[in-house]
Amino acid sequence: MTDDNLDPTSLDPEEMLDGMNPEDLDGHTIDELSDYLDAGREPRNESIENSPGARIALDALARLRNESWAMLEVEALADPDRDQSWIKNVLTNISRESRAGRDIPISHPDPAVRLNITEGSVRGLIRVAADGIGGSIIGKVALDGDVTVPGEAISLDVTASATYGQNLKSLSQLIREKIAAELAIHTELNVVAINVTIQDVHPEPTEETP
Amino acid sequence: MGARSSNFLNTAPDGILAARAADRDVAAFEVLVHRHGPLMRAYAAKVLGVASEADDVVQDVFIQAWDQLDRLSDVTAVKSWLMRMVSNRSIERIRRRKDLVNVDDWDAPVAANLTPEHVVEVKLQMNALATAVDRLPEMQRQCWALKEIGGVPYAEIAEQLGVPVSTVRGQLARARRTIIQEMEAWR
Amino acid sequence: MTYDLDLSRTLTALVASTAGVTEVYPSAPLVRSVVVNLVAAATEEDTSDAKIFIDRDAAGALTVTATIGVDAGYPVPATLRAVGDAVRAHFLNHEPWEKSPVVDVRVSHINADV
Repeated sequence: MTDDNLDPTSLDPEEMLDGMNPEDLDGHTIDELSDYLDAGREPRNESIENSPGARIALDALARLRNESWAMLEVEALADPDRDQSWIKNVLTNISRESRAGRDIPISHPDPAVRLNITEGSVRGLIRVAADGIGGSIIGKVALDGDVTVPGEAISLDVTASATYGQNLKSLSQLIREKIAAELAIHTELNVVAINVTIQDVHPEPTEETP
Repeated sequence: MGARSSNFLNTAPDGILAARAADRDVAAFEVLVHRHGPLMRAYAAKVLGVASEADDVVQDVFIQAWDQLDRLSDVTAVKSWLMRMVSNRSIERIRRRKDLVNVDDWDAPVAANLTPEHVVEVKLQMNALATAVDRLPEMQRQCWALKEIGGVPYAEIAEQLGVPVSTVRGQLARARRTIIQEMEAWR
Repeated sequence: MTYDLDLSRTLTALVASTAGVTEVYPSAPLVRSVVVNLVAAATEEDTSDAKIFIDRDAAGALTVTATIGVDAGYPVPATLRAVGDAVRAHFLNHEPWEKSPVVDVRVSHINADV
């Protein structure tokens, strides 16, 4: 490679890669560089990293890969689900049975009367209640501890995403309080901790249907 | 469940949607289907070369995903997990095809009537890369799509297709060279 | 079997009319419900309104199993107790010959439509 006009970012990746021989790449092959790229350039290969030709080819390969993904994204966009039948087939074929989980007992003075709430229904209750606060969307709801034993110490792990601009600390607190209130009304669980992790942020919902 | 306005979940992050879908929230699952389905279809079509087969693969993947989402340890990685399932099912289909038995046969250029019909949309004909890929011989295109898009390791492609790793590498090298040359010609 | 089918119907209606109950789901384990349906089909009985599962052990002692959906507008424990009490009261008042039936009620869905 000559030095004049050597601005790698100005040339198309294809121009960079076409006609590159091992002597341009200080003895390396395109195949070898592609593998190195796949491995995230780890462990560091000094011979490749010290070769300007090889480095330029690596950048070009990376850009070509990005172009490949971009090309696929464009195809995906250009293919609106005008034919929604495959989506309908998916939705009609999935089982709607909820995951019941463990039985959470409710006390009754008569031992011949056994009352339970399924864990799944409690998770659903929590999700709807916390979603209703506004400003967040609940993700995972998990009850830790043996919920089948009355009085057992139970903790909750909840994940959520918040809309932009929220005070995350007060939002977590609101969620925690709402969940605690719901559980107090509808269960007899001994809840010792409610861990709310706001793991993400998201924009306000858009108008159009998905 | 989650019955606020119907677009309440539209902008929810993948990880949140996957966690809800794992607990049988159909609305959340539906958003995932709309969000990732088109890309999965485009990828499957690249591997398989036939749009209707791509539809079948993606449908099967989502039906399977619904049942297995609760076993996904990192819900934020649901997109790559779905794409991986598309890779697996697409490769399965290739294996089951009776017409592909000989590497030499694979190498012949794709006949015009096998070109995926969705590529024929005028807008996409302008996309040199898409065109270049779709004009590759069948096996080169499959190897290229599985490796470059799906990230499937060489050894796995080789094992599934029943050919040596060196064959897969060779196919990929030729595909890359062809793509590069065709795109240059376009410019 | 016919007697228990009627009992199931009666109890299903009773439970469904309890305040706070939004839905009564079929309670039988799958295999049993297939058998019930086969027998019902043989006798041309409609069993869709008999959702409460009636089980008798070898000594004839009864277990009654109900699976319900409830309204979050009422505390769930209150609704559960109301159902349990209603079923127990039914036996005390109308079928006192049934010795200590076990009443098993499970909430599988809590409706909290915003």
